[in-house]
Amino acid sequence: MNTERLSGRTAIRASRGPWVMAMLVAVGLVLVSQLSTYYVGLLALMGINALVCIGLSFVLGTGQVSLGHAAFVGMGAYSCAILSRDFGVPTLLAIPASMALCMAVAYVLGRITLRLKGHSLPLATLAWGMAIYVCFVAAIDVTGGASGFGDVPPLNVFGITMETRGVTLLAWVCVGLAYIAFRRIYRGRVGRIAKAIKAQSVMATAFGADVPAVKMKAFVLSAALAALAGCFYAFYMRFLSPTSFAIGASFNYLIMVVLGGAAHPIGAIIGAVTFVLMELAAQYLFAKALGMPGQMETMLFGAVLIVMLLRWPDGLLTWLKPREEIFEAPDGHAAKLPQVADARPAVKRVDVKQVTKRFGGLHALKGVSISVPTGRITGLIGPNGAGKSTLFNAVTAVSPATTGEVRIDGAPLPRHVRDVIRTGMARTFQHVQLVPELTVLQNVMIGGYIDGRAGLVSSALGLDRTEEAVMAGRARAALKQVGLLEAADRPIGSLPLGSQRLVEVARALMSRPDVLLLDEPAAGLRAGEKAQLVELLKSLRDERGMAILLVEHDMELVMSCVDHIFVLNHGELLAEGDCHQIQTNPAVISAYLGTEA
Amino acid sequence: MDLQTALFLLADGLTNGAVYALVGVSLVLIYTTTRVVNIAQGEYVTFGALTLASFIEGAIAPVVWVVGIGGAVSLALDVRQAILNRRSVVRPVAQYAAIGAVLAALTLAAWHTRSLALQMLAALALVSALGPIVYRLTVEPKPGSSTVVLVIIGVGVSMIMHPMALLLWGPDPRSVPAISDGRLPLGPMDIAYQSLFVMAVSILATLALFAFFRFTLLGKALRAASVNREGAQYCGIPVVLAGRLSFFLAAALSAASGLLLAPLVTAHYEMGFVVGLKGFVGAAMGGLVNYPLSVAGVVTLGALESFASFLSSSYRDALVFALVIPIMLWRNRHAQEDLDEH
Amino acid sequence: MNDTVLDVQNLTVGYGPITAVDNISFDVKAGSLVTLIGANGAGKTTLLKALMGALPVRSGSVRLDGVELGQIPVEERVRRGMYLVPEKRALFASMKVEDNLRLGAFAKRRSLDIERGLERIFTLFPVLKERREQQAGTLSGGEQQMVAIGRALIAQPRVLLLDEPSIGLAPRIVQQIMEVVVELKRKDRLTVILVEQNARLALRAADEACLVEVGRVVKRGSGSELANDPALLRSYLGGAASETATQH
Repeated sequence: MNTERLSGRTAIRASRGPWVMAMLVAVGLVLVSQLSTYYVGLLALMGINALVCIGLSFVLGTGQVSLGHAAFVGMGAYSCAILSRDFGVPTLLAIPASMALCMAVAYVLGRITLRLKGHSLPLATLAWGMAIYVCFVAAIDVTGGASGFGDVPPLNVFGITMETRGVTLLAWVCVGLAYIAFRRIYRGRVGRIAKAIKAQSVMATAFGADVPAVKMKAFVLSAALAALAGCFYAFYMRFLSPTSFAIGASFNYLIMVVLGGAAHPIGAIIGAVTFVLMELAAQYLFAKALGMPGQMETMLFGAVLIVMLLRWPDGLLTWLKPREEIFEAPDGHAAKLPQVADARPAVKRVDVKQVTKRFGGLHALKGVSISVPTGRITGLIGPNGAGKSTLFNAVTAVSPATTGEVRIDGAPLPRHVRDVIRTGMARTFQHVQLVPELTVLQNVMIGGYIDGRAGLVSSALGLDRTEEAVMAGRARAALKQVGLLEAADRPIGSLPLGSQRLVEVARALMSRPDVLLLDEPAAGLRAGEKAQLVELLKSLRDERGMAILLVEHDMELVMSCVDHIFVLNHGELLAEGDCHQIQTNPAVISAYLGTEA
Repeated sequence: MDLQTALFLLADGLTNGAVYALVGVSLVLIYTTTRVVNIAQGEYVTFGALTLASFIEGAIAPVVWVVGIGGAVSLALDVRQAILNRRSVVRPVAQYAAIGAVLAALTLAAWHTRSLALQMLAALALVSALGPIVYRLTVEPKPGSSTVVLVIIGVGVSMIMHPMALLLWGPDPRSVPAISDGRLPLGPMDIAYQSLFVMAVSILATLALFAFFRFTLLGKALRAASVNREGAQYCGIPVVLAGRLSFFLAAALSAASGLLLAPLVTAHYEMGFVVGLKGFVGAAMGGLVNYPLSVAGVVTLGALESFASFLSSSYRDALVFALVIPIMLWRNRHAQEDLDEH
Repeated sequence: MNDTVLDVQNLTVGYGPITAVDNISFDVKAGSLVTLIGANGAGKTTLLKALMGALPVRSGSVRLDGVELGQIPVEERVRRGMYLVPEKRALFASMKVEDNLRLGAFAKRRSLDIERGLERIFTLFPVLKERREQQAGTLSGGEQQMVAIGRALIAQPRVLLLDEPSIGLAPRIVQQIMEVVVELKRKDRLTVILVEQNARLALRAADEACLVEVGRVVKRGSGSELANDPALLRSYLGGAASETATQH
């Protein structure tokens, strides 16, 4: 089974990882100690940029674009410099203080702007990026304004003064640590859900994610890294000028991230390094060889940005594909971690009572009542436009009913989508909502989001190994149930649609639901795949006693597995009964075939 | 602050506002017809002003090369598209040749003439031609791009055009003669005729655009192309052409703004960027979809800027940019539920 | 005299490995209504989009008035008189009803008297006249469908393609709409291709009908012939249904 479809992709095996790292460290040490100060300075800049990009890349991965990150770098740089020079604060305190300040500002800005949608967010970031830059220039007494802030004391750690080489080393140590931390984050619980948030935030919410909170955390964390980078910048340059933190710098960070690729933290480092090299080459080319005035390399980068976005949105990572391994749990661990499903009572039935839904002038549902009890597969059918999707959205809290109610064993349906999964209801989607950047196994693991506890910090510190191993084990069990265990490590895009739908079911099963809601699972399936699905649903009903609601168009599929059917037409309940009753019901027949006069 | 000062600041503010208005209006035009938020819009202001300066100095504006090369690349792409779709190659070639001929004629005429009007016309035509070229190269390849991607692409365009102006014209400011040098006394203060001219053009342009999109079928068709692309196609609206036409009009308006602004602030390569951003702030007040509100927005911005400058000149821009955020928040909340599918 | 308006021969349309329309042929004479019926997912919408040039054709030919359409773009086909009312209606929801209708005449704006065209549509669908200033997206489902059809009719099309006009609409309204279409067919010799799930209604209005399953035409005949065919019921409601239902 060849998982590599595109030629030119090489997989960096994880087992070779430590050797590669050791080699890079050795090379790095040699370079830093042997090269002239000029080149070491370049390495310093690369490291500083890499720090910013690692954070920015993560933010971009959650679908948020920041055009103002240079402002955070500047805030970190200036506060560190001011604390060190004007207040004599030792380095080891100045750096964390600056980072804390930046994180606070980021939190405030985030609270105000992160809920802006679409193009409004990047523009808001552009706005405050520029506003903060202007403040750097205007606050002459504090920052020295346009003439700059000089005489920044050198970096001082435990009495050892670090000049350029020391700062470079320290910066790259931080880059290394950040890289390791983020690799773990990307691979872990928050990383998975972050990737889901970018394209499919409804799905992420349906599996319990607090999307605004996750976005905020990513944003504040990136501000912290940017501030750290700023501190190193201050200690390296020993002189700060506001133009280093102007809008052009923010654009440059964006280019680095897009160039390198946002799918994996190594992309950020590659982007940062490549950018500095390209800038150097371009400056040489334009200034020395062609004799053009400065700033011309900006044009080159503008073109690079556009071309990359249009042709290779994955950046340089299109050709480099690092592969991650997932930990195996030693036996016996699987049972030890608690699940949300353990704490809640088992659901016996879901009742929909007299639900109405209006959209402006459209009366989509008119007083519909259905019930979905345990141990039964309930079908919801009806001609196109009957209101099936609307009812489904009402039951899953995505688009709550205008009047009427949905009750789970008598308790009302939660108002927020993200709380629904905790009640024991899990769902699949009409248009498959799987994260293309993740493997099959990782997609299924998203189903266990609510059971996990690992956050950014615990993932970064590697404290989530046990939890991850247990989750992976559960995910494999779910995949086994749907018959797709051998596809676990494949990229999701390599599976045919039928299998993808089964993966969605496996993901839903991760949360051990008592109620499974399926939205047109048969669309696009071939005959064999439909049979597979039918078998699976029947076994879930018989062995797990699940309540299953199946919204479908495909009559062959519906008739071959459901126990009870509700028929909708024009937003009203037309009929209910078993297969035979429905198929011979004249009202149903005329609803499907149409009335005459 | 006494009344006289306040009035003076107000007049100053209104003049500034009028300048930003044309840019603001072109931003609304582009957004309502193509869903692109064009950060680079200010660059057309720069190019317009500097192109006119070149003609006045008796030189061929270097922008001709950009238009020529850009046009050639666009033509190559169009020809390739025609071949892939098995359609006639003659049509695109003929269209480009015709446009090229007109531009060449105007350029030559402007180069040799002393007439300011002809030079302005040529400058306007050349810079406007940049609009559809940018559209062809950055938006057309992927018309379904999300607005966020389009914003970043706009950043890229800005990064190309900004230094390009420096490359083509150098860092020195150039003078451009005003259409009229006089000043109009108005009570305790006076206003330059040129400023009034700018205001008049801005108002006229806004009204014209408003009328065009509200009352003419062509205007509605342009809007429809971005409201529902599929539906527009089934009405026979050529959606690709609509996009190019929109960028053309927007570039023309911004270029016009540059032509008129240049005598007041002297033409130099930095002039457009900040004007573009401020035009954007004003347009944002109208949610980027409403012409009259956008103009009200830019004018308010101009006035605010004037007063803020009086209060604290160095922090003026910070205050202005920071204003964007509450405006966007306010618009976000008042934004009408999106009825359209795209 | 050959009055075939649209001639479709061996049309195959697909995306990647999927073949949505498999070697379909049919022709439509002037002033007649041909209906393509079949269950959801049979490929009917794909077929209509391919006829309009909105989807690329893998093989086969489409001739309008004897002229091969080939790769001609959508705008050009509209100019030649082919108008599609898509399944999702594709209205300009934030624009006024009247503007939606006017835009339907865009392709013929130079030759057509749009005011008279508007009046004609308002006569056919009086409720639209009441709502002419309202935003199209705020209208009810049936009214939106009328706007969509009105938009296609205003330019007096040569061929009208209707993609499931009855979706989500009450039978009474569908009735109204179909009556208008049939009337135009009779009076103005409007040629119609009607794709429907609501088989009975379509078959009653049709001169000729094709039952489509998985991209192929499996049955062909006049409207009444197909209306009494058990293959129809089987196609929609699955196996057992057809045997028991024919008893009703």
